[in-house]
Amino acid sequence: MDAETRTLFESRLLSLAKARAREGRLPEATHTGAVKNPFCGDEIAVDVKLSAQGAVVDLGYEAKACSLCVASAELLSDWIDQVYSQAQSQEGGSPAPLQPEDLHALAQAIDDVLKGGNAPAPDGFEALVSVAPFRARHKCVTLPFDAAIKALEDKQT
Amino acid sequence: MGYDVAAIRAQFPTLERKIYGNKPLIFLDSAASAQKPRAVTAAMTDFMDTTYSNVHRGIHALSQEATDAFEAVRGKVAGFMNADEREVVFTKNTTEGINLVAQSWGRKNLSPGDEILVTELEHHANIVPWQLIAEATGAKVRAVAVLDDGALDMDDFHAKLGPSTKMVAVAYVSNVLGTVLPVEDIIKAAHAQGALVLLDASQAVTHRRVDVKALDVDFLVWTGHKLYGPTGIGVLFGKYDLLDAMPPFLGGGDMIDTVSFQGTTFREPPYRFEAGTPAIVETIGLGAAIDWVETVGIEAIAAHEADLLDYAMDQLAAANDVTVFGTTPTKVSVLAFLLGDHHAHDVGTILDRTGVALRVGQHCAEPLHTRLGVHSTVRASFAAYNSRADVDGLLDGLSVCRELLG
Repeated sequence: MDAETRTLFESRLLSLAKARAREGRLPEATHTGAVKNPFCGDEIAVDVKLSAQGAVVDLGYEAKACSLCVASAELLSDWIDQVYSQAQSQEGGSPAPLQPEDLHALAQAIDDVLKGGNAPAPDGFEALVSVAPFRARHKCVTLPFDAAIKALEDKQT
Repeated sequence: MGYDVAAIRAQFPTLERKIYGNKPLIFLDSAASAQKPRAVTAAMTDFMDTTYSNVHRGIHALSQEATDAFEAVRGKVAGFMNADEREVVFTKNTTEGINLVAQSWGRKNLSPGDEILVTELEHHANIVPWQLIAEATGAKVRAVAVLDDGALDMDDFHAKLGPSTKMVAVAYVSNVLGTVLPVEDIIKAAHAQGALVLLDASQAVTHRRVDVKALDVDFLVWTGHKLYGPTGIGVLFGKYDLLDAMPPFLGGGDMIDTVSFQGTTFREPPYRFEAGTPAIVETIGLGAAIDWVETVGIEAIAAHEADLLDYAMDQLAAANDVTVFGTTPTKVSVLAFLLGDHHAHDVGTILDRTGVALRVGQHCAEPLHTRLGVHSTVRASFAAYNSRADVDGLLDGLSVCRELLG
């Protein structure tokens, strides 16, 4: 098997997808978005919780999807958790710095990584670089981001 | 001499390709679209180099030659499925053929309370056009259930077929399961209730002899690109009297008798349904494809594919981690399966990198996958040019999937 395929399927993406450790809907979601990839039928619903100040503080998801989509959702959920935790540990505790527009910027950065751009992958998303050579799978990775952005664009639940 | 698959493969240049470095291409995606033999591309190139002109509208020699060549294909298509030439409408593809019938026949003949019977195993192309016309006319679309083995539930069919049924639109062969439906029984039962029948024969004409007269079917649609021909050309068969009673689908040049602002009149079928310049070169390619299939012999192709299917089914059955969908005895060489609990796209990606080209997903048949209780499947399909070595390549690829996916 070629190196690209080995790198992809031996990366931590597969173990993330198998564990699905962060999967679950958010009971306290303020926004929800669901998207479907018509190419393969994969579906993901993303819940986002915004603070009273409008910062993103939590993200949950539920997916009927392939390993790359689930892994991507795991990374996204984990990233939001870490950013929020870091913000909380700052002096004063809050507000959390993560704004909806930061999520848009992150989605764009991931898209650039998949398209082989020169910019390094954002912290925490390095594993997604291995998906870049597999053009037919890019949508699998971006689907959770699409759902999150759709959630933020939708009215508050 | 028996079936010489090596000689057949040699006629398909694409199959000589190497991909991902030096991996031989193992093409198992013919149910999506078949590769083309040199005879088809040569006929199209030759036509463009020597005879190309618009058809049905020129006084000059070239246009007359092009028209003769174009109409000769209509005759060839008619002979291929035992129809009358006047009953052969050229379309863009199967989807257009079904939309044509749904919009033209349906708009004239469907009323609130009428029912259109389809099945759970249909391609979206044989569901959505009926939903659109049902919405426009107040008719209702009902779906006949599919059994666990992929067969049509004929009890459910007879239960749902009734006086309200005006159209039964079903696949001749499932594009996912390969199941051959009992279309003779379906047609007889539908006619007994006064309903018409449309068969989606896209996956049938490539695997078996289709005889519209023997079937007594009312409409039958298929596409050229699955029959080793080019894209952009499909066929609608309709019984002449039915076609003659139908209004046009699209309006434009070539389908009219007279045009005036007081009112326009239309030509007889099939021309009434062929507005505008047709896919002339593609039609020539379709004629060459039919010639190619008839030269090899559709029965010989079918027997070869049946051997490949049996071989593949036996090999997959020996692996205890493969689930095959569609296990009826009446099945053609379309093979949907899952490897363990692995997502079809993950399997498909790895297989692709081993040189195996096949389709993964829902194959434009979401309701069927919902019925089967699976999200998506891997689909291998075997055609005239495939060999047992191709099946072995698939099996080797699945071993790599097991290694990488765990």
